[in-house]
Amino acid sequence: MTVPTPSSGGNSPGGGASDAELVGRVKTGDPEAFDALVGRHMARAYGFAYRLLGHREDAEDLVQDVFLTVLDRVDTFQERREFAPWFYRILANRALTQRKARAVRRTEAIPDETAAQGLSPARAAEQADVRERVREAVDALPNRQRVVVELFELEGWSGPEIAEMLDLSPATVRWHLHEARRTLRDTLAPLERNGP
Amino acid sequence: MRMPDVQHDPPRDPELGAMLRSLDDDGGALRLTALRASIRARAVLPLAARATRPGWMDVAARWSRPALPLTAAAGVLLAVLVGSLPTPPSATAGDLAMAELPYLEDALSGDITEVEYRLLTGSAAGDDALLQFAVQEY
Repeated sequence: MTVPTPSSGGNSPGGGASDAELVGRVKTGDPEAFDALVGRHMARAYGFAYRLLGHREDAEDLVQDVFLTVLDRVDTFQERREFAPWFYRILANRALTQRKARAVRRTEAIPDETAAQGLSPARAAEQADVRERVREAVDALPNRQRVVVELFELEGWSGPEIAEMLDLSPATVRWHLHEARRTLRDTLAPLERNGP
Repeated sequence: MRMPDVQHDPPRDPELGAMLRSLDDDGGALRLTALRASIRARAVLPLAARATRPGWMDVAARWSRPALPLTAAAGVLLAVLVGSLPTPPSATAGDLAMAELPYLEDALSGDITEVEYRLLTGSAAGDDALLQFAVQEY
C-alpha cells in the first residue's frame, strides 16, 4: 500500500496555486482562496478527526473550529513554511484536547453497507465484527499513541514532522509508534491473518 | 524484550494501515459538501473584516508581537547610551563673535570646527567667500 504524502498543491481545489499563495490571499480576505484551502485539506482533516473521535458531529465540529482558528491565526503563518504541518499541528492538538476533555462517547453504530457492497448477510456481519474489534483496539490505545499511529500510518507524516506537531522529540514519537503497533498487533493478530 | 530503534522511522505497516483505514467514515461527498458550505458561511465575517482593513494593519498585525519587546529594549538601550555619553559644549554667540572666518580650503577639506562652519555658512562674509571661491574654481 502506498501511503499518500501530505500534499501542498497539485490537482486540487485552488488550481495550481500553492498553499502558501492561497494563505497569502486569505490574509487579504479573499473568500475564494479560503474556500480552496478548505476544499484541499478538509476531507483528510475530517477523516483524521473522525477516526480519532469516532463520532461524525464531533469530527465536523472539530474540523470547522480548526479552519476558523486557521483564519484567526493566519497572520502568524510564515509563507515560506509548509501549510499542512502547521494546519495538522492545530488539528492534532485540538483533537487530543477534545478527547481528554470529554468522556469518550459511545461510538456510532457502524453503517450498514451490505446493500451497497452486495455482500451476503453472513459476510457483512463478519466485516462489521472485524471493524468493531479494530475500533475497540484503537480506542483502547492511550491518546498520544493513537494520534501518533494515525498520523504515521495513514496521514503519511514522518517521525520528526509528528514530533514538531505534538511538541515531542522524534525519539519519543517513535517510541509511541512502537508501543501502539505492538499493542495493535497483539490484539488484532488473528484478524491480520484472515484479512480485515 | 527487544528495544525499538528510536533513531530512525520504521517502514510503514500496510496491514495495520488497511485496518485503520477500515474505520474511515464513508459519509460520502454530500456530507463533506455540507461541511465545506458551513465553514464557508462561518468565515464570511472574518474574511470581510480582513478585506476592509487597511494595509498597514496587516503589517502591524504581523510585526506587533515581536516588535513591541524589541522596541522597548531598544528604547532602554538608547536611554542608557545617551545618559552615559559626555555632552559636547555647543557653540555660543560669544564663540561666534570671537571666531575668525576660516579659509575655504580648510572648510572644503573638512578641517574646521563647528564654530567656524556656522560662521562660514551663516554670515554675509562667508557667503561672499564661498561665491568667490566658486567663481575662481569654475
